[in-house]
Amino acid sequence: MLLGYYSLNKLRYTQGAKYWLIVGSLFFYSWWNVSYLPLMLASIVVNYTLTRKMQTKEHNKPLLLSGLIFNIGLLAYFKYTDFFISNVNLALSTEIPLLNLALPLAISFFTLQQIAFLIDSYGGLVKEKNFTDYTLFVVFFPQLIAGPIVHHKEMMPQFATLRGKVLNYKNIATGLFIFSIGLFKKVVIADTFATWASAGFSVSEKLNMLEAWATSLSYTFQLYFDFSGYTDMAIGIGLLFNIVLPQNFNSPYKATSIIDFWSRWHMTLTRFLTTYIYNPLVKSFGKFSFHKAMFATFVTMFIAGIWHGAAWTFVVFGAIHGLALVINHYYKSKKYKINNIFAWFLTFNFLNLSFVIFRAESMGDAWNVMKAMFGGELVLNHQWYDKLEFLQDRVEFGAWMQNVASNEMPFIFAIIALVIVVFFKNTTYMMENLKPNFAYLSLGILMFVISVLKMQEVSEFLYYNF
Amino acid sequence: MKKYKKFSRYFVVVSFIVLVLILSINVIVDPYSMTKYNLLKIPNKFARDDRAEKISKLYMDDRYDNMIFGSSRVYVTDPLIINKYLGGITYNCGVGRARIEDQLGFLLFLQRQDKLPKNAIFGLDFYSFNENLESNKYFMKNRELNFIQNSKYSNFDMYTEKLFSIDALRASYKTLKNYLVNKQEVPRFDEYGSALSSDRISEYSNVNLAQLYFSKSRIESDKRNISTLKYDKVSEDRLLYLDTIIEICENNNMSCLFMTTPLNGQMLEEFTKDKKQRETLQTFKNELSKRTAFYDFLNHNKITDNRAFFVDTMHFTPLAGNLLFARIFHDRNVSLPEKFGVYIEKD
Repeated sequence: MLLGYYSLNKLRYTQGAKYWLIVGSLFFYSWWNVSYLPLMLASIVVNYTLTRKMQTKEHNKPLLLSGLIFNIGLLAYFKYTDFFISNVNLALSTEIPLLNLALPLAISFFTLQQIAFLIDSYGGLVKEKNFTDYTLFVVFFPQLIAGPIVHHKEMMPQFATLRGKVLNYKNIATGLFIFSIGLFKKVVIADTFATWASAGFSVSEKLNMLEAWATSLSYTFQLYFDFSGYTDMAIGIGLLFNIVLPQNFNSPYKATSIIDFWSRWHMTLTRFLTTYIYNPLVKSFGKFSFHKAMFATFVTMFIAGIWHGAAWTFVVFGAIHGLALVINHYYKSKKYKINNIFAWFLTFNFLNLSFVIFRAESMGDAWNVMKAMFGGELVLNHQWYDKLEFLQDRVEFGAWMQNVASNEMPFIFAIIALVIVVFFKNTTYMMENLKPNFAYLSLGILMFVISVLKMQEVSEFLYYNF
Repeated sequence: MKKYKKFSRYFVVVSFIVLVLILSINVIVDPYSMTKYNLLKIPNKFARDDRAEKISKLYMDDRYDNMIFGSSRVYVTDPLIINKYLGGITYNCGVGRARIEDQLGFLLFLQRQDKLPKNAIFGLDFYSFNENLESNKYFMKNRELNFIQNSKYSNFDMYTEKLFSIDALRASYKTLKNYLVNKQEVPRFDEYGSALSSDRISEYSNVNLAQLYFSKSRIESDKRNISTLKYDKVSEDRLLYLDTIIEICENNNMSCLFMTTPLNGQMLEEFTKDKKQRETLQTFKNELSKRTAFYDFLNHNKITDNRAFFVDTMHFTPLAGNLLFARIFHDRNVSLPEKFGVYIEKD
């Protein structure tokens, strides 16, 4: 793909190079699931047509509204219909059959991206006349499946520059290195945690205390390394094409508050939520006040929770994060000071608990894991019996991690992961400070080779499902 | 910019060379015997996959007279004891976490190789007939064993896993090291497929540790292992696999013996406290007796109730294994409780 892109550009077939990227991206999308390709293409055509009309007409509010209804309707139909029906059935004791619709790949991402474009077009912030460019903006393969959620104005000018059309070895070197970090994060780290997290959540009602902690921590690290790994790969591949994708993670587990966390986690989603939900909501309330802003914060996070999936667990996840943000803002407004280490500890544990809800199949499962985390039976490794015999009246010695792993590896990995996420520089720093020296080269090659050799055990990216 | 160009080129070229080198080493050493060409003529390969290791061995060996099929409960039994009772040479074909499909898979493989034994003993774990229990992933990935068509693993997956993975590299390294440096070390299974030399046995021989393995939490955990996936129905598919095994035995004039593998009495008691689980166990035995005669070791008696005969609540010791064979081969020199291995005739 890279070779074709640069060859066509070198031969001055710049439009051909774009077609090449579009066709390649659509092939990439279809490789996962071809059946939803027409849906994505239809969504592109409708949105492009609406925005073109908006750019030529003066009174275009109805066009914006119909565009929003179309996009939100599409998302709602595929993502939330069955959730709605099952709740109606439950509430009214009816038996309306479920539609059992499969969620089209990347629908949450390409829909948000196009909503942003639609609103920006309405506000006159962006203009796009060329259908090829618009399509490329939506389908550019590195960010198509799971973000980052990009703005037209930060993407398309990059495709237009002359510099972007020729090989830039600094970008190639950085792209290869960042891609390797992302691949390593996903294949080696996230998928290792995934095994333990899945094992634990599948028997949530049977976990002892340490198993429950191993399960929740495994998922907390799996989620971060999986999603940020994907983002790094997207950024790395983007760089190979001289496209700089926006930063999506900024060491979120270093956060010392929930406000801080959401400014570091899935940053392009936070940017979308702030620009297109929070700000309009606050404006719609009229005169600004702290309470109105907090209400808007809560509603925005609530919507963010639901965006992640059609289940009560996501509703609760959004609600508790909304509540936590409100409390955090209140503390901030009162200028209360908390020790930084304690603040980090509190934030990390809150996140760890909220991700239990995020991951669990049901609220019942989430409750089981949490109950075990704080009140489960304490079972220690039988091999420690000789050294800890004095504890035998208080704890059980035996198969202490049987439901999650056969050994203490989840805890060892969790400690290593914690050290990495808290004390190490993040990918963005490495991207900006890559030195083309032997150390970086060896590290990059090592991560790449190990990841390739581990790839046959790879599971799907978590954010494909959202 | 030149430095970045060099960096990029080195990155691509060196990565490619390293990966090709690893693939070449794995193909040459071939720890899982995937290529069928043992280029270095290595006698002991250290595959970390019971099934692949035993398939590879059976490829190379001549036909065995007798074979034992089953799971980890079976692979600690001593095949030499069978030689004593039946004559000829016995191979223990037990593999970890085996279901009945593994046993059928091995039998079909042997049939294809024209290496079916004269006598076969099948150790049946009743919980592995659970309808909600998935097939073992190593079974699913094994081209020779997996006769189920709906495998989500392709041949490509299997080759990449066995020749182009960290695990394959590790196995190659271990195999090569043993071949070139330390020729003394033997693989996990001995020449006749038995895991008698397993570290676990010596570990469990410590009385205190054995006590710990019978702790309340251990029994609970093992019970979960059996009932984790809601064992309320015996799998129809797995009963069909058993039917096929019986058919193969009959069509090939093989003498086949079936037995339910024992659980420790304490575990059995815990498990059967639940009415539903008690019923499932009975259904399992009824379904077996509709199909074949078998020796039933899933009950209480002086041996199964004695912890000394078990390494943990689910695995019996090699000594108990010897007693098991003494029962099914009617060894009059060994005095056994009546209820140990009750012979259930075919209905």
